[in-house]
Amino acid sequence: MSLLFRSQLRFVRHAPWSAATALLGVALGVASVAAVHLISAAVVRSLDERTPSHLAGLTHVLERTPLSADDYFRLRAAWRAHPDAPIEALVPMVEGHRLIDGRQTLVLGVDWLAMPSPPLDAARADAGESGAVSSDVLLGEAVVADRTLGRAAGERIEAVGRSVRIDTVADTALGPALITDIALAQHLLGLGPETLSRVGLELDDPWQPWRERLDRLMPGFAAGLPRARAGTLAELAPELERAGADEWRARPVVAERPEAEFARAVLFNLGSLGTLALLVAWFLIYQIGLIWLRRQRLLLERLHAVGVDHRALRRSFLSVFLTLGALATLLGLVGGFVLARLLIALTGGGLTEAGSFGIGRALPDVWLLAKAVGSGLGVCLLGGLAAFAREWHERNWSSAWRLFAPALLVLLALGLALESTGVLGGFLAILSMSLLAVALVTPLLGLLRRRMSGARGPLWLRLALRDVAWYPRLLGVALAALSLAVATSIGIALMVESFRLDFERMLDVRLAGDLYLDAADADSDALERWLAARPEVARLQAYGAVRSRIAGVPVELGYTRFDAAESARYRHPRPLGSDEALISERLARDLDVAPGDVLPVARGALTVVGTFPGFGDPLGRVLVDVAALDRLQVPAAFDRITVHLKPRADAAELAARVRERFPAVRLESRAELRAEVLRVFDRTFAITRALTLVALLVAVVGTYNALTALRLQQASTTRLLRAQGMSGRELRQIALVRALGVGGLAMLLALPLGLAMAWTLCTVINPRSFGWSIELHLPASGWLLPLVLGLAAALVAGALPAPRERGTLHEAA
Amino acid sequence: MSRILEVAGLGKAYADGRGRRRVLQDVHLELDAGEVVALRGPSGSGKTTLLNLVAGLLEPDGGRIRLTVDGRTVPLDELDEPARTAVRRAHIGYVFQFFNLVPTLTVRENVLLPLELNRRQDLAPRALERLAGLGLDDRHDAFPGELSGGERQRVAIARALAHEPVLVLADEPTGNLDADNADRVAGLLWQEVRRLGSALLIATHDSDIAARADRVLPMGGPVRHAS
Repeated sequence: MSLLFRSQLRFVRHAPWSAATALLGVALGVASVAAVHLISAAVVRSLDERTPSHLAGLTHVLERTPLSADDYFRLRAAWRAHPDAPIEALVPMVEGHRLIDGRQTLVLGVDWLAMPSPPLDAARADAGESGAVSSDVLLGEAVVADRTLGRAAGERIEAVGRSVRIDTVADTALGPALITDIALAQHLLGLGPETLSRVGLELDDPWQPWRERLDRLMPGFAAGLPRARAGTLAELAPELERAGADEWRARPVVAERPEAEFARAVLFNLGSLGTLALLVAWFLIYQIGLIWLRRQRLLLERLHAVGVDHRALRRSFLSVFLTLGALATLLGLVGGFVLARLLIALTGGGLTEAGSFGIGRALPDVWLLAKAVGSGLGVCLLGGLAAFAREWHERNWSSAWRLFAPALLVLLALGLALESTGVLGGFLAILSMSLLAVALVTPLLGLLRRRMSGARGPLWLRLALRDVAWYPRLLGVALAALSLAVATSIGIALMVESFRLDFERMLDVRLAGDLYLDAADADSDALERWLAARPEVARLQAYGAVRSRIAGVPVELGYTRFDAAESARYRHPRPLGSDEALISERLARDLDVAPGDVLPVARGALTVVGTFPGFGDPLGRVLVDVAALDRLQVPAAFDRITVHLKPRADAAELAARVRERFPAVRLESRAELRAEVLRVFDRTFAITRALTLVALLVAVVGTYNALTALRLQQASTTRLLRAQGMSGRELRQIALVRALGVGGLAMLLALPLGLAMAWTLCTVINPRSFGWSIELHLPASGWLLPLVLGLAAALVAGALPAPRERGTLHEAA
Repeated sequence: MSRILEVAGLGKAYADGRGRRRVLQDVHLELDAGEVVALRGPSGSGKTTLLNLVAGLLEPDGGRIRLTVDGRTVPLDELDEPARTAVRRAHIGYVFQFFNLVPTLTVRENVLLPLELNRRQDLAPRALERLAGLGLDDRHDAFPGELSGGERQRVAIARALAHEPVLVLADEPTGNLDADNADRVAGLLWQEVRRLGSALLIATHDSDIAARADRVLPMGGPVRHAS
């Protein structure tokens, strides 16, 4: 061990408290990143495991209108004639809906042998895994049934005069569905052998392995990138242009799984939030680096004077930070597992349904280790380097900022204005506005110093507030970190509160009935007849839904008798006609349509007459009157019933009677349903809130460190004031007001930044992530609570006793 | 002349890693109004400790410290910390070698600091006159960082005398200055203390400064005792 390194280690031994806080801050940052990675990796693993077998390995889906088997064979022949075309596989498919056991059921047929890697695996199929089919299914002698159909393997389904054996029951991620060979599917759907629905395509993409690696390093990252747009096959494979490739419309396969895209967008948002604590930890390390260098300045100057060069001094200084980083990484990894379990518990275990993780399973995850090591060591190295450049080389960042600021402004403008920059663009805009706010700290302190120089007022107030403005190097960094953490808390809280208000408003409109019945497993006709005969029932409304396609895009198609009352719930002024539809905001964005536009469907078209938010819907939604189902070639079947009672009727009594007579019916009152939905809503954002709290905790550690360093630096002033007769109480009062000043200034920066973040989250990032926008509300609970929390944290940091550490500036001087 | 300070049998020891180090043992000292006493001795002989004990910043292990103010004798060694602080605030002025001024207060604010603490704004005109007399009339709005070492010590003297204390304590007030500045600062200190009729207890290494004092109290080295 070199003498310089040993000397640095001994210095750290004399500064145990700041070393401990650095360790804690970076460990929390690493834990935050590791926890989000563990959760995200588990969810992605689960999503991958749930990839429907007919989409495995495919990159695009091809469509044309009309599409026949001949079209497919012509395309296949053209591909064979052009081996240079970047196509790896073409897979014909057919799909449609059929009522099975009175339930809307998706029937899907695939030419399994054309798949990139045929998912023929009897063992896995027997185990019920979705990504596997047995040879019987492959040959069209049996079907895979989705678990939601409630059937067992070996049972038979009677359809179109044929008895079909259920080979396997699996979670297909498609809802009620039967998956089989093309010929059997065509038979079950009553289609001729010429009819196909679409063709799956595997495109040779040299970037795919890199994208996969990036997504393993940052699960969900792909969802943050601009969405791939639909185009023509000719754009993907120009070699086939002469073979009519421009008549084939190609859509990325991710559009086939909007639920997975939805989940990945959530993960991307979580990942961005997870790095916040790490960013704040960087500020902490930078600040501690500055403080330590100031304390050692004279020693380092002496060493330089006796011939130790700058590089050796920097190396020894950084080696201590790297040692701290290594320790923090270890602690952070362990903390990550604990935090991940805590976060999962906060969601009520909802995420564990999607995937599981454990130390045994996660430790071999080289991506997690690389990320944790990169985070811990990276933050310490970069923080230490920046501090050394600033303090030792007296590097002034203001000239760098003059260059950076316009670049950040451009990034901010592009990220906000260009939708094509995707969620990543939105988050880069947030990062830009945060860095611009951080850049304002020093000028703000300079302004405060000028204003405070001639200010009057009580002595203790002047002393305390001037301390805040007089030491920008000590306090500026902590101020920036605290304001950043509080601003994020405000941004997230306002977004969540606004979302909740919009959501509650939507619930109040949508939950118009008194009782909600799910009759999927019961005889819904008998139930409806029985309910209609009850004297206390004023009105019944039956609903059905099916996974379908509009303009090739998977949607959830909902239908009911859309009379004036029903339409009013979606703010539409009149009953829906048989050629009219209401669509969700997300679908309107995906299809780029607005009210008045026409959507082609199987038989004719539907006119879009309005849009609705559709909060929480992973798929785009289309609502039509039952009279429109013919146009969509969807048979009518109702499985949910809403009961409107007459005034003074007893909902609980009716509920009890329904349960007694129809035990298979799931039933909830409006109050129960509303409470349950809101409970799920609150759990959904528990992780988000917890992660902002972790970042806030790191910022509080930084504030405490900065205030402690200030107190150590001011030891002589304190001694002087005591000698002048200032009492301990007065000195403590000054320390508290000083902390309040630091907190107040941080809050002054945090409030506008937090509002800007909230606006960006509501109107830029949410639409890009999930397809719906949120009206920004400013409830006091959204902005006041984080402000009070931030101020209280600064006060606590100021009130805690300063530990004694050797090697202060004055002792060195 | 009236007695201002009486110290008898004063002792003080500090704990260090190897036992207790006795810094002061059986110290006796009397100081009258208008009198200047210099404390001389090597580093570690207890000069600063004695000043801090007299100021009430430290508690003695034994002995007596009596300060007489307006004919009333105050037993400093018997008072608790808040009471000692109140006495120090009202009746004692202190000048240090380094870091004599609050860096975030202007020259004027530093000088008026004791008056604000004592709510004695009536003394402000005289305090500012004294500052002018010390040659700092044009530096009222400057901050300590903008002053030379000699200027800072002159401001410190003006601050120590602003509330017209009965006793001024000075710990190596010229130790950080060159010979000319040291002579000038010492001259001003003497002049202002005598003008106010206060007593001055000054710790110094400088033989020239000590030679100006009415009396010199030699201080011995520390004594180590096993714990």
